[in-house]
Amino acid sequence: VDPDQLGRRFDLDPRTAARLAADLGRLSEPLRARVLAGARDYPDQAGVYLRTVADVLSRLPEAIDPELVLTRAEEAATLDAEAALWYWRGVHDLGVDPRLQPTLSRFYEVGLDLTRAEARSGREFWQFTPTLLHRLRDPALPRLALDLAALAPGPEALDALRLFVDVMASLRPPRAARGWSRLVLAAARLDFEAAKVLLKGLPEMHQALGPKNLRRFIGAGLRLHRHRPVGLAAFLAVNTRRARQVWESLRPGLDLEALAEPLTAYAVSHAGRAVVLAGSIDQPPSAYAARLDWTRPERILLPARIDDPDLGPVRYRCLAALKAAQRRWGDWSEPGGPDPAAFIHEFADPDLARDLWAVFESARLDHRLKRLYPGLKRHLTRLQLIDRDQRPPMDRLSPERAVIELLDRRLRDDPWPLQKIPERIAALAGELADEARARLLTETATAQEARELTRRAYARLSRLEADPWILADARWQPPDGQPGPADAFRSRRVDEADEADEKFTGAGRVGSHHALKADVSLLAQELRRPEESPPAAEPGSGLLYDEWDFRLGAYRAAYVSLAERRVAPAAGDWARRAIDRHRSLINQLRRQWQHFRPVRAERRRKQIDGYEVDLDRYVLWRAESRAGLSPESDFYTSRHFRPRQIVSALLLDLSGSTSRVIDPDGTRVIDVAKEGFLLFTESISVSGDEFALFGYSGISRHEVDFYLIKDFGDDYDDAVQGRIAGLTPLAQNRDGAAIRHATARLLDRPARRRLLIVISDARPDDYEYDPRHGYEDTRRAIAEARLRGVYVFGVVIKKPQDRKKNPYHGLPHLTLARVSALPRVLPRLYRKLTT
Amino acid sequence: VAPLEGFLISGTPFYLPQGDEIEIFEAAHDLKLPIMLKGPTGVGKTRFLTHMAARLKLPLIAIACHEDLSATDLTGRHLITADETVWVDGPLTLAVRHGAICYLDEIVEARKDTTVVIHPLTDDRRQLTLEKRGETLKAHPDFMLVVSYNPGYQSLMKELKPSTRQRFVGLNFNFPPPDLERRIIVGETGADERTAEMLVRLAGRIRTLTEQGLDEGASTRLLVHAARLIMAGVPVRAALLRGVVAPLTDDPDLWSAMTDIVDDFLPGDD
Repeated sequence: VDPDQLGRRFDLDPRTAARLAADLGRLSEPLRARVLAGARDYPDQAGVYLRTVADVLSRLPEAIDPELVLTRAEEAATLDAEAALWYWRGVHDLGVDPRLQPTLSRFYEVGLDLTRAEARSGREFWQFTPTLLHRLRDPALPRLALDLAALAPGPEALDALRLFVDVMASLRPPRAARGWSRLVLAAARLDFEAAKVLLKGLPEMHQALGPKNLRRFIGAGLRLHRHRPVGLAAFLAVNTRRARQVWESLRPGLDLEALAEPLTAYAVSHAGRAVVLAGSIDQPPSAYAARLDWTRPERILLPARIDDPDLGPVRYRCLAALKAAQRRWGDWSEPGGPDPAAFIHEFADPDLARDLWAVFESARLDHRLKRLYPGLKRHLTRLQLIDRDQRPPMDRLSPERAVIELLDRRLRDDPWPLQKIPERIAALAGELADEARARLLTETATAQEARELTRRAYARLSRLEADPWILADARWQPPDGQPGPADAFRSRRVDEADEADEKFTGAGRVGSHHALKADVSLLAQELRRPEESPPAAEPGSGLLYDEWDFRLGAYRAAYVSLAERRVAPAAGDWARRAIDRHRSLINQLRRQWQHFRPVRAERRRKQIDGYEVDLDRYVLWRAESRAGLSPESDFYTSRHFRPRQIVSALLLDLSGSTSRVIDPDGTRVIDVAKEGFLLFTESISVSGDEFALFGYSGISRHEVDFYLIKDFGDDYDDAVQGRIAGLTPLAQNRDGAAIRHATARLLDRPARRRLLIVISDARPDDYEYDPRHGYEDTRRAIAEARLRGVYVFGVVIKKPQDRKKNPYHGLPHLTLARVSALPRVLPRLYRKLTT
Repeated sequence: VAPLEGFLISGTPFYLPQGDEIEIFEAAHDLKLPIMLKGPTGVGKTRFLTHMAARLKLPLIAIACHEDLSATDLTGRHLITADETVWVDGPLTLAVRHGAICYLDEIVEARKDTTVVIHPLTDDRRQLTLEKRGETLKAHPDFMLVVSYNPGYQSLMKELKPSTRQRFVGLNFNFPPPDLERRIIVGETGADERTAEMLVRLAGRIRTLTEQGLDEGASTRLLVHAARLIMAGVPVRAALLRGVVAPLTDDPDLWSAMTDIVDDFLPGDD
């Protein structure tokens, strides 16, 4: 090869031309010709092309067939010349590593497919993949990584590969990665989205479940969605009911749920008043703050789960006792007592005040509990001993935090750390602790005293921060060279929260965190709604109900948030006028009830006393007596009455569609429904049966409102009439959730038979509750109710032209052609259903 | 008095008054007014009455009412023997005829027809009509009617009608205040002060659970039982669980909660 000729032909400087000529000289003649011919594809970059190819080919390991590489590059160049150039470089990068040599073919195929679809994807793939693959230790992984990339939709291939490599490289031990890769791949074959979810969640899930159980969990998902891949992503995000069941069954730890009933009773007995327990998955702001509650005296907040099955019950019990003690001996011992949350906001730095107060108040309550209850003392002490090991390291705390930490340790009889503590900090902590011991750890110390101490300690801590002496203390420089204590404190809050969390939950994180934070956008995508979903319902703000998603063939767990509300009663005499208008009908309906004695009589025989003589038995008795026997004189019968034990609820759809006008005089559906409620109540209250009137509406799954118009046990009075009068058309209707809640309320009542009458237009309608989804979920909710022993009857008010299939189709229901008949239909219907 | 000899109380049973109930009772007896004892089970209604009967040296005929108890059971009945029928006085008739305290325990449990015979006895007529014998009995001067009633059941079926209620002088009984309850346990069982103190505090905790599905809080009677078990050498934990917790509930959750509450009080041995 003549360097001069090369230089002229491709416009190269003499030195490059000489090196190129030497490299090309090492190639066989036919190969060289093909390489030179290939330069045609690079009119502007022929030099770069030639240098790259010659360089790669001349240094190609023997195991790789240069001709094959050249053939492939030529094919790639027909699609995109630049991509082919990246392919050449990739071949070199992979070729130098014997472990990666076997992936060359796959590297080529995947890249070629991508290039074919979109040149840019192919270029980037060939450009970045070699570096990524080098990071994988296990020789089996590169191949699997490429398989995964092959399954990805074009533009996502490289991202998927990157994610894969990041996750796999982080797994410990490294050899475990191979197994997880296979599972990821199996998921990707069903649904690529699912594989992404799995990859993203893998480290966290691994930490929560451990390898063995995580394998089982993924295996369960794969089996379950073998034929229905669409739900797999939601499953692997632990976002369906089934997934959550499997997850919970595999996860070590203890759920508050499992203990809720006895623990509530236990807490109530400590608090001396009614309290409810609520599970929280939020990380407490600090370990000190987690010991007490800050708002809402009626609700004790506990971690939703404690990831330590052995210590879980004791931890729950101790925490519940401490928080209940807050209600008995703390600010909340008087009704309307101030919230601690309000108190700490009196301070310029509420977080500092919060931790100080929590340390003081919890010490006071802890002391009192221990003194009164030797058994509880044993548990409290044991936990404090265990938790000693999880104290935050002192050298990572700002001076104020260090004082608080030392103070807390002293109040809990935990030893101070061995490391050297700046004298001023130790002195201040010691002083505060001595004062607190003297004033708080007594039998009579009050919450007021804890507040006073907080104020005083806060004042001293504020001075501490400004004290130049502390800043000058060399030993107290933050280890990572951050400028001052105040900044250090701010930047460390994250670490502190992490540690606090770990301490709070025993060993690991709150596991379902992952599940609940599941990818919202993913769900939206699946529902084919590209809208931005609001954040998941805040726990404790409403009751969470599952919802059936027919597309997944599964329940979405805790998906709908429902809150009970009272209807604001309307003033005025609407009710009285309506009653007057229907007076004769009401009287007629009442009479029917009076004729019908809604009690069941039972005749009992063989009584020794009673209303009537049972002749048969009397004759027998005479005969036996004559025969010289002494039979029992039990020849009376008696009657016994039993109450009916029927409890029922009327559930009215209050959605906007009830504003539809049905009469030329402007009467709306809601007006008729109101009259229906009124007449029903007027006439049924004669029967003595227990019943409730409910309504529902709402906006989206985050906000289903369930209105109590007349709750069970409410007397029928002016207030109820006012609330009926106050009913107005509201927003959307998510029927499934409302039916589920009404069912739950009915099941709460003691009765033999339970009846739910749903009055609606049978057109469930809400955000992400499209007709088909709403229909399926409502049917499901009805089926659930019937399974649990609640008889659901639908009263369907529909527009004359409406031909849509309604959810009550094939189930007990009544379609009202003339809506105005509703008032007279309801009481009769009830009578028919219950007698 | 011969027919009632068996109903006389021997000795005066231990009773610590919660308030002025003894004076009121004596006054009602002098004035021939009937009395209604109201309160949850096991707070000493029956004990109080026994104490008063002994104090006033009156026989006490106590009848535990139940849903099959009818007027006939109270007044008496004809018993058919082989050849004749014989009238036998019922317990109420016995008390009216010969002068005794007649105590209808848990009156709401009885059938409604019993009110027919009770009403004429509770006003100034003080008479009992024996329909089956065509006889009207004037009450003996020492006759006194006492009923008891537990308002805690909260059942529609177990309300006392106002027309009945308003015939009685009402005495309210409730769980005694802690100090008194402690003295009752000590006086009744001879238990030491610390044990009694613990029992009273345990009861205080358990009594808050009535909102949690517990029908009624631990009664003084249960505490006395537990104290007796402890005095007899039963281990404290077992005595509390068997004597106080077990009689209160079958619900596993409440059982578990109350077990934890009991354990709060016990130092344990590990």
